[in-house]
Amino acid sequence: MALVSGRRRAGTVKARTRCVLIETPRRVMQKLINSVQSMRNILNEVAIKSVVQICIGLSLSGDELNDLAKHAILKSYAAGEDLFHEGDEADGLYLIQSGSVTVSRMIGGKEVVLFYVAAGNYVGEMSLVSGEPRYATVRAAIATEAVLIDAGRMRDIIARNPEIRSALDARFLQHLQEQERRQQQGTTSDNTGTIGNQATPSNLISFLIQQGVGEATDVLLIDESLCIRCNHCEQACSDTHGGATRLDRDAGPIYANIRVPTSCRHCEHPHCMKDCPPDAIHRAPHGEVYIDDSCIGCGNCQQNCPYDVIQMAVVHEQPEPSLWQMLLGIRPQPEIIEGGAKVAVKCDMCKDITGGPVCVRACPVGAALRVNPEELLSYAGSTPGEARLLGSDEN
Amino acid sequence: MQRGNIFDYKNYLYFKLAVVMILLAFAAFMLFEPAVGHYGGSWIGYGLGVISAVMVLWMAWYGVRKRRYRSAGTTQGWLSAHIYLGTALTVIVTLHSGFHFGFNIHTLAYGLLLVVVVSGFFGNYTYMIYPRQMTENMGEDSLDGLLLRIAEADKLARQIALLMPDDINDIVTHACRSTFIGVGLLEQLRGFQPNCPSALAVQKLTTMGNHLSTDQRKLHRELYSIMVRRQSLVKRARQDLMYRSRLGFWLYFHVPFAVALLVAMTAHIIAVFFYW
Repeated sequence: MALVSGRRRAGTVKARTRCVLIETPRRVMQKLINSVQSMRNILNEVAIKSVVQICIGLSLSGDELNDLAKHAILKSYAAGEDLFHEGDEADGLYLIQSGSVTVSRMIGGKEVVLFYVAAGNYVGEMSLVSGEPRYATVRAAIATEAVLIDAGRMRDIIARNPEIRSALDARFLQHLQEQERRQQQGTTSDNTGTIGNQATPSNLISFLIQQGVGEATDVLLIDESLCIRCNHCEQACSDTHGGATRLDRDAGPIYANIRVPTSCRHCEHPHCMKDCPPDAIHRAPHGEVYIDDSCIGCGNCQQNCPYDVIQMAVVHEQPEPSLWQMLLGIRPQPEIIEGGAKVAVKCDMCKDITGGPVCVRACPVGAALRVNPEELLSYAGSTPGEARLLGSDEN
Repeated sequence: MQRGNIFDYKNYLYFKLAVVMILLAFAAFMLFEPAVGHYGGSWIGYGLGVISAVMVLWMAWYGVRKRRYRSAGTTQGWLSAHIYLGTALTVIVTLHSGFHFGFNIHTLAYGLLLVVVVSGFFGNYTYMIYPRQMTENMGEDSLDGLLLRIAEADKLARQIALLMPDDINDIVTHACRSTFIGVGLLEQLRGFQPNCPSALAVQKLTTMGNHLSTDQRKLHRELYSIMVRRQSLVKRARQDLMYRSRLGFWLYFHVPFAVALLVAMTAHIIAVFFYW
């Protein structure tokens, strides 16, 4: 699942007895999937089954699952393409296998984004439950693959499994409530006549999607209403990473009080990995995309990154400042190393440092936050998180 | 994900701790009165003194901690504790003194502590209000970007001014040459230049277009709009520098006085034990 969706592993796998496993690197596996049709078919079938289990949490029998997988259709969408449109007839349930989508509705003649839904979730259950036309438009935020289970088959399953019915019903009501609340926010900002400048959660989602956060798995945000511009985040990053900071606090778009600084978002399908001759870019078990020591400094990844977060730099150990230097904030003179080779450097989310990302921990005022877009924007976790981000709990 | 500022960190954990410390110190002060009255040398005075000395050292350690990027935990928690416990410290130290003040090293240490704490309060105030104003002023622009645009506007304005009568040319040249942005600490803190030549130029140019020929009028309008744009850029750059300097200025008191406090406190402790 994680291989296909590019997100973090959905579960933990532990060896119960001594066993020998063969690991196929992600890149090789993806090449194989893309070039061999039968491989793709097998993986698709497995993926459909697992996505059904993960998304709906169904306890279907093997036969039922096989039947479902056989008749499910895998659909691919380009960024910005609609999965379905508000007012359409319900054609089935969409399980998002990779990528992410936004759910939006026309409110007061303007399209307002209500939710962001990432891989491992499903959309389209509302009309399926109620039997009414589609309530909202679902659009791919980035290149997305979804498994479509057609409406008739899904209704069959629902009829046979009462617990699925109640789970879907509960979710339906929850969404209805959430949608209502979001629409209220949409209309109140409409009434003020300045919707473009209103910092509603819907606008925040649209802004973050525009910044490519949709394909991120972990993104650094700066709350500019708290940031005192002390640059400890950059300093901490550079001191712990061979003298080259991997984030630019000062650069990056702002929406309301939230800045998306120039810093790696650890994309689902990293653009930097596409063309690395020594295969030096990897994904760590917790999702961190990092460059290992075999980098030859060719600069391909730097050019391939659409977010400009990779730079070429000479990496060298930083001298440890003395106690007095630290107390008074005096920087020790860095040693100038002549002729060091430049290599590609990027954020590794401090995977080798206990305690997590130093940029966040070094911020004295708590303005730097690392967020998982899924948690920030998805159905369940979004509301309080966004409200907090926009500072609506204050004053 | 948890967003909180330094004041409501972990649901006001350190605020509560500070209140408890103050209440305990007061309770001890009220309940146990030595026969000779309260003073620093009574056992309760010594007790509060030892606690205060440890706290002062711990407060000073924050300066080191915030630059030790590999240490565990968050700097935010440390700063929150630094603020609240530092405030509580003033109360505990006052009780330690037993309200005996004089012209001596002991009261000097006390005075230095107050300067450090009060400058810290000012720091808190700047941290609360300026970040938001800075973002409102700058948006997505950086200071370097603004300065670059001002330089471009300067160049363009001077080129156009060469085609204009001498009086206009003089005003524009003077505005470009004598406008200072953030020269000197005082000007940075104030955020404006008295009799700013850029503002004067815009003001004068407003009335100078009447006696010009038709061609020159067109150029005058262009020049005028450049100068207006330039002035607003200058203003924003100055504002940004003002916020930056105000966010950092209080530290010029906070840190040196904290070092002085450490010295005075050491002298105070040695003196007390020497004259025991």
